[in-house]
Amino acid sequence: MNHKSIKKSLTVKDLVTCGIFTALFFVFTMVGGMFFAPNPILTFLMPSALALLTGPIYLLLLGKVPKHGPTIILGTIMGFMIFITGMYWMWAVFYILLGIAADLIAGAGRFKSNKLNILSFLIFSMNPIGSYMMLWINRESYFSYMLGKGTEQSYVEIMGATAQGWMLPAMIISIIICGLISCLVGKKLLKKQFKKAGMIA
Amino acid sequence: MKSMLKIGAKNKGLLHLDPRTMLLLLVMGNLAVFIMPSVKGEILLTVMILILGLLCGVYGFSFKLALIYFAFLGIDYICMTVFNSHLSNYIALFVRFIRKVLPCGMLGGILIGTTRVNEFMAALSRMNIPKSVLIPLTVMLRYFPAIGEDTKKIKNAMKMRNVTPGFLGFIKNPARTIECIYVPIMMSASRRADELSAASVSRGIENPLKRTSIQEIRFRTVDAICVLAALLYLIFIWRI
Repeated sequence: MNHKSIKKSLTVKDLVTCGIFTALFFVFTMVGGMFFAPNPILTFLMPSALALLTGPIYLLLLGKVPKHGPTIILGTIMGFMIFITGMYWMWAVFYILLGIAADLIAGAGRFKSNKLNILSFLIFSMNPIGSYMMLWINRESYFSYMLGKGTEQSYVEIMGATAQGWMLPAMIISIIICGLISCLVGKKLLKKQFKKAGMIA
Repeated sequence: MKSMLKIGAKNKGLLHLDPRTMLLLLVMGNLAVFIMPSVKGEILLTVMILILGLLCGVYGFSFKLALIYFAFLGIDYICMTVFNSHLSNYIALFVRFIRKVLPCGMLGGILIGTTRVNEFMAALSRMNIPKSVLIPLTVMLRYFPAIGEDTKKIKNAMKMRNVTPGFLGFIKNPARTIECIYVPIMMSASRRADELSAASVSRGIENPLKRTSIQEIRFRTVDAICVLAALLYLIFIWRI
């Protein structure tokens, strides 16, 4: 991460805004995670639930801080929190990497282009795939990691049985659909409520 | 949780730990959950964290989470021994998953409940964390309790205007429920962001020099004792 360029362009106000919206993002992520993650079958729906919940917050963050940096900060802190709460470490790495990717995509439209902002959110929402893709890449080591971490044997077995080959593309497609819905709702809310109130420059 | 996290309520406990010690304990707690050998070890961990929370003066929150923990333990036990059907196994899985997160959640709550913002920032800037991460992280920790308060108020307001909050209302009228939850939360978030940044700028957060703190930030004997206890515990469960 290039700290110098961020320091130059991000003011204290931007950093504070990032912090507050990251807190909201984390709370909504936890709400979605709490419902879906504890069940070995529903857990595959969790990424799309997260995409569905967090869209408006992401768009408002980009609307308030249309600069390079906020999504990188969001990704870094979310990765840190995910790591602290004991999730699979690849998820945390994906948060940071996809945060940087989302920053570059949204930056290509100078953070003003609706389409590119939505695309960057869709890319950013792929972050849980970092954890789930291990089911297809190296199932044994993923399961032994989860078992070592204290996950129940039966959880892992049901999860393994559910994770068929078509599941990964299905997950990605469901994330895209849910993310799009979330973004459209978010865009509508922003237009109806926040633009009028002068909250977004 | 609200009353506990007020600024004035801090420092009423017997212990006051350095924020860095709390962060270290958080990492160690995660490590302990990671290598946890048995349920007994987990109970010991929860009891230790409960004692720490009580010593630090975070009474209600620690008790509440410990109670939830032991209730989950009981539900798990009943599900596995009395019913032992397919459905009860699912419930047990659900309960167990959340139970694993509780000890560290307790530690995190104690960290937020006992450290002041200036302390946290001074400790983190001692660790040479860049400002672009330090400020958002501090603001985030500070803002968590406020989200809880906001949600409560929004729910009350929704009831008053006859919009059912929660899942039932969502089924009845999804668009309105979404609007009634998201808009006030995001509005208050952006307003608070403006206020907070104005407050921190006027307190000189933009000062490029090294941050100083009127409160002494250093490791004391209590910190050493806590870390030592945690280390002994880790070695103990490692050997079993």
